[in-house]
Amino acid sequence: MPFFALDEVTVRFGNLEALRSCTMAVGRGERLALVGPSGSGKSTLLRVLTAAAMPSGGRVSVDGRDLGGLREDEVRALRTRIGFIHQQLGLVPNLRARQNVAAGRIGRFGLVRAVRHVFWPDRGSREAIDRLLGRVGLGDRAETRTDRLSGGQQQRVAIARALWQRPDGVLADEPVSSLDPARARAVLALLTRLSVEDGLTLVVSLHQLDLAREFFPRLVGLRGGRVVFDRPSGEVGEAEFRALYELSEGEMDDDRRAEVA
Amino acid sequence: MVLGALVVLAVLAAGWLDLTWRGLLPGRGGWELAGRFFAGALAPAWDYEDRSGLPAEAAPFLVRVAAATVNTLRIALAAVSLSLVGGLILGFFACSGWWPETPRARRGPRALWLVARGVMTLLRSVHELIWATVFLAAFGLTPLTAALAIALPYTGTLAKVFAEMCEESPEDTRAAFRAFGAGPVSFYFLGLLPRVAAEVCAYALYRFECGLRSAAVLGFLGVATLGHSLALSFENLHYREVWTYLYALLALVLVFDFWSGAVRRAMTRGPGAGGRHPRWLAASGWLLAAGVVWAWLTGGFGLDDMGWAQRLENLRRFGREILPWPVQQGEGWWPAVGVWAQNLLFSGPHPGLRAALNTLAVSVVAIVLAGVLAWLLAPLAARSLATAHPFLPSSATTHPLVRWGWKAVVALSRLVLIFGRALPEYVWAFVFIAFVSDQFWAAILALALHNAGILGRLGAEIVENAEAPVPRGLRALGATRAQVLVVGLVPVSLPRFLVYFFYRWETCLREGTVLGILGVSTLGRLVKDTRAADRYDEMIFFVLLGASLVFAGDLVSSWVRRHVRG
Repeated sequence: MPFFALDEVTVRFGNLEALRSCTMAVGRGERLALVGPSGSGKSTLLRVLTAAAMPSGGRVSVDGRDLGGLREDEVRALRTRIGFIHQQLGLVPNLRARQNVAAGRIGRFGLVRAVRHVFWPDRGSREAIDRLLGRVGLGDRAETRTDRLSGGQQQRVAIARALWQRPDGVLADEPVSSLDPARARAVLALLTRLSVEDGLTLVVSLHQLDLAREFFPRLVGLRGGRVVFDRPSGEVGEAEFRALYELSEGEMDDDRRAEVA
Repeated sequence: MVLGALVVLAVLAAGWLDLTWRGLLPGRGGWELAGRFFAGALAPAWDYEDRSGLPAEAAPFLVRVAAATVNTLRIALAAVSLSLVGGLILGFFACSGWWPETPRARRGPRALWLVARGVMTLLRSVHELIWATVFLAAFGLTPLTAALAIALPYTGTLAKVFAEMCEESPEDTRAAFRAFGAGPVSFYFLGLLPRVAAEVCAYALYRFECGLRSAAVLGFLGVATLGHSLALSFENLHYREVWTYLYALLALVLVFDFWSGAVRRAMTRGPGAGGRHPRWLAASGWLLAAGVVWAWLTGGFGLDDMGWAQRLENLRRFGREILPWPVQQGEGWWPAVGVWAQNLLFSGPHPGLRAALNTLAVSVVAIVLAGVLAWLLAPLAARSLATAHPFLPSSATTHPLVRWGWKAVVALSRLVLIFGRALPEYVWAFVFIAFVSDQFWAAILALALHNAGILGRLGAEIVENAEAPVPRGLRALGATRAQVLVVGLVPVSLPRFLVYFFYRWETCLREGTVLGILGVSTLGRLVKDTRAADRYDEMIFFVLLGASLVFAGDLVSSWVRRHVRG
């Protein structure tokens, strides 16, 4: 049974169709890269998987559970099981790195326990978080205020926060688009290594073919809200990839779609 | 850490004032009165509640309400226009932006600057009600002295703000003005002020709004504004009439607030397409100017018929009587005045030092309570948070009733905040003192309510303008609304909130002094008592003691504000 599954999913924002009859399945523990130009529907696809966008047609399921007609608390429970790394990381800038990582688990707690966990964690949690920070290469930065860290280091804090959730799957929306090639490669290497170690399902959206091929066994190409190709990354050719990004007459539409998505 | 220190301070202050929970409750018979009073909120009077004591030719009630409202507006317009002129002039001397380059040529302006700063601080540190009390002693309280009493502290505040706005003086403007031989005055008015015109106007409009509240409050000393009528009705236990006056003041402030808010937004947006401001903006300016002229012409701001000889004589006597008692007795300044001051500070039934500490303690408890109230209400008033699916959309289905429920929560909390903010602390204290058995609690509640209104609106704005990724990121972790608030939004906005918090603490200290006039044992009470006993030397002593307290608070607050940034 696949972990993430989309069956003929269509998402509309007003008149725009951000996704058009997308069908895709990602197995448990699989690693997959979404590629495609801005506005092709990558972000929307990721959001559908955490119930943050409402499909107007088709079915979405996570770990066999249909996402249609969930109640609000069920949506929250779903989100605690999926780590989501946004392009803008959404870390709290004036908290320490350790506190930001601790925030990963608050979805499972009530308010009082969440506050305690973030601001006054017990010794066990604190040590576990520091070990996790060590795994992402920030072992000596636990006490540093997050806005004092470099962009690449903040990215690692965001990854650590997603892992502290103890998720089954991790979704990352263009996690390396604001980093230089060397740092981008390091972050992806980290992300893939950690998900292999923890057996996580990993879906990442990207723009670089070389990086996608290097770290992900499978590529899905999106354009105009449709799945253009879906196959092992070794089989995706340079020309095919470039065709995905070529400007077309419908570009105006895409631009507008990008604003929505 | 700052937060912990504040809570500890508030607890210590509450201990000093001997606050108890019981003190919050109405005293004997108070429940029934309080019930009647708050029931009046729902049924304000449209006519006199009791005509028996009135002369037959008395004007209809609503005419009286309208007259008091118009008079409040008139005094506010006159006073604030006066302080604008004063503030611009004093601001010139208190601003270093126009100083010449060479150190030698700067000596003169620097000396003036020191003097101007001193005058500014003194004007600003004495509350308008205290100024009015002083004037009352020297000249009697006429519309003119009422307007002056408001204008003096406002001049100090405006001068400070204008001077700070003009501090930065760009080299190119300076060079251009030097090139055509402009002097410092034209540089200040034509080179520096126009650069910050939008901010100057915005702040001036805000002061007009404050002026409305101050004018209403001066009514409690006998000027014919809303405060005066309100106090009379209150003393006659005509609570429904009181609410009519409260609603009139609320409406006056809100109409002005709404209008000035629109003007401010239009000005910060800048000229629209075609390089022009909307036409109504110019019309608003003319309307305000016309209002000021109307206020001065019709407000009866002439001198009374006392005659100059009498007036000078009064002033001379007042000037003599404010000298310390030993000096008046010919005992000389030292050491006799030292003993006199020591007595005023430490002995007697109401030692000055104790009153000063009471003022301080009231302000600390009040501002901490206001901060707590503000953070309870602000999240509920923030449209981005108080909604079915805050920050991150959800495919979960929501009942329409839930959506409407959240809208109602937002509307209700905004209403509470507006109510607290629009009515002045003094009016709230006047009301609470009648029902709450502990006078300190009454003062604290009044200060806390008004400041919670102000801080709560700010908090709601901060929450609404918070950078989207932070709350969205937390929502994606499955965090609840409350968790997003406590773990994300509060930490993010804390520095900005604290800056404003300490600024408001400073005003709490000022207002706390004045609430003494209502009988709370703060410095204002000593000012009032000594004036009533015609001991003007002691009155001035307590006025200056209060001013130094406010000044010290000002120093502490600006130090803290500089250090909590970032």
